[in-house]
Amino acid sequence: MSGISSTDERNLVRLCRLDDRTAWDELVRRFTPLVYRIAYRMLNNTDDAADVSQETFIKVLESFDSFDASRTLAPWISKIVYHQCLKRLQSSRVKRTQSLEASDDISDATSAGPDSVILAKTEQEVLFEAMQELSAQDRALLHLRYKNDFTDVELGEVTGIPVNTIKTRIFRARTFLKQSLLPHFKKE
Amino acid sequence: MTQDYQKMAEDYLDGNLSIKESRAFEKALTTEDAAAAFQTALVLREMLELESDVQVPKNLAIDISKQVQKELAKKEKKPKSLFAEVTGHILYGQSLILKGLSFKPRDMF
Repeated sequence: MSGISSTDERNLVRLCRLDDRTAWDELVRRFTPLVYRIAYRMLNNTDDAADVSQETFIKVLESFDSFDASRTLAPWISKIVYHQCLKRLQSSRVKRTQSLEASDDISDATSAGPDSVILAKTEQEVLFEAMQELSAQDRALLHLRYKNDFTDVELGEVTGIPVNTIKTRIFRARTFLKQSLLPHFKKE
Repeated sequence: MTQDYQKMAEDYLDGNLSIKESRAFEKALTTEDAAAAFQTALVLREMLELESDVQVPKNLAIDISKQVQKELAKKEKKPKSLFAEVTGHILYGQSLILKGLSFKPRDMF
């Protein structure tokens, strides 16, 4: 098991193509956090995010033969989860419960003293609230850009949106967040 | 002008400005408006990057793995392809017919 967990992505893909069960376990283990977090960012609901994560991996398994092994898995898998989330949003099964789960999600963002933790939490809460005003699509774009370091081209691959439009969308989303956060910045 | 500086600050941080534009923006940073726009852009990026990670449910990966393993098992059980199987039977039948046609009594001796 230790062998497979340290194997490089190319070898993992090769083994998955051979339907190697251990390799599939490893693939799921590696990509569950990415898949779940995108789904949660887009759907704002833990149950829906978990369901969509499961659906995503089944889809990954079904369409694995179409994956171009010369590329990396993260954008390809992100594309699948992104589209699964859009489907879910369309089906309007998403309960618009802007739950207080947010507070559970805010982990200790810093290892500094208790005062700065409180301050960081407040900033995070303000940011989270402002993020909820954005579309699910824009939240996904920001998440992939800033938490996963996706390039504009990769974001284009994931969402099917032209690169120039992605730049504009991100710029607008950031401007909106700045405007929402500005009063908070000024207070400090 | 502040709007311009905001866009310039974003483009500067994204690396979308030419060398000339970058230098011009760096010079402009001595002005209050440009400095404020730059500072805001920096803080927002930092916040987005540090945005706390959503906690992944404890057993989610295990549950998904179980489901994937079930699908893999189904895949293994399935005949490779119905087409291949039918074609195989047809070819086998044809070979029997051909054998029959080519059968001659002397083959018996």
